[in-house]
Amino acid sequence: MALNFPFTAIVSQAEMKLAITLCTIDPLIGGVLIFGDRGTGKSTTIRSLAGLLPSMKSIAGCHYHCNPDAKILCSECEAKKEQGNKLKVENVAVPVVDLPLGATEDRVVGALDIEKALTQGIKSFEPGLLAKANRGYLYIDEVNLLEDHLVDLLIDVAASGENIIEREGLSIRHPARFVLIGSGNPEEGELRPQMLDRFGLSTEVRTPSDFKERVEIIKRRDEFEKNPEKFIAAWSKPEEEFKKKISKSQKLLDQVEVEDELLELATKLCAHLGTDGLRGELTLLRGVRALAAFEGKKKANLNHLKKIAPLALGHRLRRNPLDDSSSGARIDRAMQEFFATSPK
Amino acid sequence: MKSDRTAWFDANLIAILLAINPRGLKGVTVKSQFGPVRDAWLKYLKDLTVSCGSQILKAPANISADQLKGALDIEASLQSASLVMSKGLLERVEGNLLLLPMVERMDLQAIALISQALDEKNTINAATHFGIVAFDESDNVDEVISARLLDRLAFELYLDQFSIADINDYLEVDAEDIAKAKKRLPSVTCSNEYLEVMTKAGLSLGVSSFRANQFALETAKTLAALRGLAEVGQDEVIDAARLVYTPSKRMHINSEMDQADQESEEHWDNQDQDAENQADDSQNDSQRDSESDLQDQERPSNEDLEDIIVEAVKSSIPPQLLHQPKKKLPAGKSTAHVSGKSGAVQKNFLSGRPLTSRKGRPQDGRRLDILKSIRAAIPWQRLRGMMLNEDQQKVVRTRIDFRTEDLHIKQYLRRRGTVTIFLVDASGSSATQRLAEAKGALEELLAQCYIRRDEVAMVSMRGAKAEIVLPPTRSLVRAKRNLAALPGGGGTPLAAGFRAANEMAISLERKGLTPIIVVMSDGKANVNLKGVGGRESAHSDALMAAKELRIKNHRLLFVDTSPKPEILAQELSSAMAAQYFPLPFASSTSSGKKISQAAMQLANS
Repeated sequence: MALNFPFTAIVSQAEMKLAITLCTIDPLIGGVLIFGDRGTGKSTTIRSLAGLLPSMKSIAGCHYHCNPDAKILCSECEAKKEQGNKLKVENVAVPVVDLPLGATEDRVVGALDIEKALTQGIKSFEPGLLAKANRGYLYIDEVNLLEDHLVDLLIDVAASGENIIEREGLSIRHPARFVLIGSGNPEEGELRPQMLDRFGLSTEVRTPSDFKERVEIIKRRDEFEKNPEKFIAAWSKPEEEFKKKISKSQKLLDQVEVEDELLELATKLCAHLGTDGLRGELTLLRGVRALAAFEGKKKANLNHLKKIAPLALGHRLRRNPLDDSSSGARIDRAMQEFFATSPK
Repeated sequence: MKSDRTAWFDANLIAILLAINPRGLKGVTVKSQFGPVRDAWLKYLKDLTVSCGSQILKAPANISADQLKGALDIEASLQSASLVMSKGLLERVEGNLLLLPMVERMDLQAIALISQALDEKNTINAATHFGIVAFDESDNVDEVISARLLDRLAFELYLDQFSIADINDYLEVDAEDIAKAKKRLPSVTCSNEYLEVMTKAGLSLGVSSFRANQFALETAKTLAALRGLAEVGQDEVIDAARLVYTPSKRMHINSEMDQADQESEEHWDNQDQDAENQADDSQNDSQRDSESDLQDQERPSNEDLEDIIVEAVKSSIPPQLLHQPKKKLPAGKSTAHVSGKSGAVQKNFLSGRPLTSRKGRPQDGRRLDILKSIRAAIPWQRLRGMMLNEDQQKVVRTRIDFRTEDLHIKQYLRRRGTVTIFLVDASGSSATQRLAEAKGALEELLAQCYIRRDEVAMVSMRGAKAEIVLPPTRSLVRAKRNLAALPGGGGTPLAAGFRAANEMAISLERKGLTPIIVVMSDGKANVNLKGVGGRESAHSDALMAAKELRIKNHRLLFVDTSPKPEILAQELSSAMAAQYFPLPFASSTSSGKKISQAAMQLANS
C-alpha cells in the first residue's frame, strides 16, 4: 500500500481541509469540488484522506463492501442470506478510489469478466471502480476534462446511488453510494452545470504566497520524501487525535440543533444569491450542522452559517458573463450585502 | 561564445543530475527540433544512464493507454485459453528513463496516465521510480506540451540555441562519480536558511507551483552529492535555482514577456520591498544563525544571495525566448487540453450513436461485441475442429473455438467537435462597438458549449499584424479574461488576418476538429501582407488570402460590419466562398445572438 502524506501535516489551505473534514463527518453533504492551479497540494490532501477515515464493518468477500447492518444488501449478499448462510463480518478501511482521467467506461462501471468468458465460458461480472468506491470516496482528478459519456454516467449513478449495468448480456444492479471528490483547473475547461451541482461543497485553492508557509511546506515534503515511515510516525499523534475528533463529531452530529430562525436566514440567503434548486439550502443546512458538531457545539449559530455559505453556495451562483470576479469574491460581496440589509 | 558554452554545460549537468537522481527530479522537457545537437545531448545522457546500469526506453509517438498500462494479449490468451496480460510500458520502465518523442502531439489520456504514474511511483518506493525525457518539437503556437507534464518535470532545456560548434566539449563524469553521488545523496542535508532563500527567490521570480520549489531543493542536494559535499552550499543553491526556475515555471514574466524591460524593473522593485519586509526576519535569522555567520564571515547575507539567485536565473534565459514575444509561452499554460484533441476521431469507438460492429480488437477501451463475435465464430467451428488433432479436439470441442479474426468491436458515431474561429477587425474608430458585438457573439457561443461541446477561438486584426487573442478554448473564465483586455485601433491587415485564421483552421483540422471561421470586418483593408499601408495593395493581398481560404474549403461566415453593405466586403466574401451576412446597425447583445445563430447553422449544415 502506498504511504500517504499525513492530513494534519498539510500546511495552510484551511478552507480545503475544512471542506474535506466536513464531508467525512457527514457524507450526505455530498462531496467536494476543488478548483485551483497546479501544484497547490490538491491531490496530496485528498489522498491523505484515506488515513483519516475510521474503518467500517463490511460483509466479508463482498465486492461492494455491503454494510451488514443495512436493510438493503447487494444481490449476492442477499442470495447468501436467503440460503441461510451466516454472513461473516470484517473490518475494512473506507475505500478512497482514484478515477484516472483516461479510465474507460468498462473500468468505471464494470464489465463482463473477459477471462472467465473466454476461458471457462462463464458469464460473470467484473466489478468496476464504482463498485470499489461504494460506501467510500471517489476521487476524480481533472474532473473538468472527463469524457462526456463518463460524466453522464457519474451524474446518474451519484443521483440514484445505484449502478445499473445492461450490456453484453449482463443485467446487474449494485449499490454505488459514494462521496464524489473532484479537482481541476478551471482554465482548462468548464465543468458541466449538472455535474457541478452534484458536488456539495466547492473551494478554490491558491498557492500560498506567504513565504514562511511555503518554506514550511517544502521542508515537510522533503522530510516525508526522505523517510515516509518516520514522518508518518512522527505525525501519528495529531493524526490519531484528529481521527478521534472526527468520530466524536460524527456521534454528535445527530444532536446538533438548527433553529428555525437560522434556517429561515439560510433560505433567504439562497434566495438573495439566486441559487438554482433546493440542493443549495440542503447542503447549507447539513454543512452548518457538521461544522457545529466539529466544533463540539450542540447548537448551530450564525457564524457557522457564514463560514459554510461560501463553500456550499459558491458554485451554485448563476453565471453572469459580464462579471469577471471569481465566485468566491462574488459570494463574499453578496453575503456582505445580505447581512448588512437583513436584521439578525 | 562563452555564454553558449556555459549553457551547454548546464545541459550536460542536467543530464548528469538526471542520471544520479531520477526519483527526485523526475525528468526534463527538451524543447528542440530534431537535429545533431539534440542527438548529441541524448547520446550523452544515454552513456551516463547506461554506465549506471539503467537504460532509456523510447515510447512510440502515438502510444495508447493500453500500451502504457498493459492490456489483454488476445492472441496469447486465445491460444493458451487463459488470460495473458502484456506488460505495459510504465511497468517496464521502472528504474529506467522513459523517452517521449513529440510530446506536444501526445494524447491527453496518455499524458494523464504518465503523470499519474510519476506521482505514484516516484514518491515512496525507490524500486519503481523512473525518469522522463520529453522531446517537445513544437514550432507553432497551438501545439504545446501539456502543462500537467511540464509542471511535474524538474528541468527544461532549450537546445535550439546551440550550433554544432558550441557542443564540442562535454563535462566529463565517469560511472564511479555517479555511483558515489547516488550513494551520498540520501545523506545530503540542506540548511534551513538556504531552503528559505531558494523559496523566497522563487517567489520573487513568480514561481507559484510547489513542485518547482521542491525540485530546486532536490537539485541542490543532488548537486551537492555530485560535488562530494555532505551539505548543500551556496553554489549549489544558485545553480539549482538557475536550472529549475525556467521561464515556463514562472507565472508573471510569461504574461508580460513583451514588456520584459519594464518587467525586470518591477522585479527589482519587488526585490527591494522584499528585502525591506524581510528586515525583521533577518534579524531573527541572524541571531539564530550567529554561530554559522561567525564561522563564515565572507559569505554573502541571505538577501544578497537571493539577489544573486534571481540574477543568475534571469541571465540564463535563452535570449531568443525574450525576442519571441508572448507567443510560445503563455499558450503553453493554457491550451493544454487542446493537445488531447488529436484523438477526436478515435472516440467514435467509445460513445455516441451506436453503429454496426466491425472487425477489430477490443483495445484502447473499445468494447467487444460478444454476440457478434460468437456469431462470426460459429460457422467455422466444424472446419476448425477438423484442423486439429484428436487430443486437441477433445479439449476444444467443449467450448467455442475463437480466433482473433472473429472478434468484433462496437462502433459509435459521434459528431466531430467544432471550433469557431472569430476573425475580428479591431481597427479604427468603429472598433469598440464592433468588438463588443464580437465578444457578445463569442460568449453566446460559449454558453452553448456545454451542450454542443464546441470551442471558440479569436484572432484580432490590428495595426500591422494579426494576433491570436484567444486560442481554442471551452473555458468561459479564460475567454473572458483574454477578451477583456482586447485592444482596438490601428490599421486593417485583412490579408494577414485571413492567413492567420487559415493556418489555425488547418491545424485544427489536423487534430480532427471542424473549424468554422467567422470574419467580422468592413472589408476595407489598408495594410498589406508586408505590413505596409496602402489601400490598393492591401486589397489585392486580401483577395489573394481570401482565395487561399477558399481552396481549403473551410466553412466561412463573412459578417459585413460597415454601416452600409460594401462592395469591397462582398467581393472578399465571394472570393472566399463565404456566406455573406451584412450587419449594419445593431445593439451588441442582439447582434451577438444573430451572429452566433448563423455560425451554428453553418456548423450544422
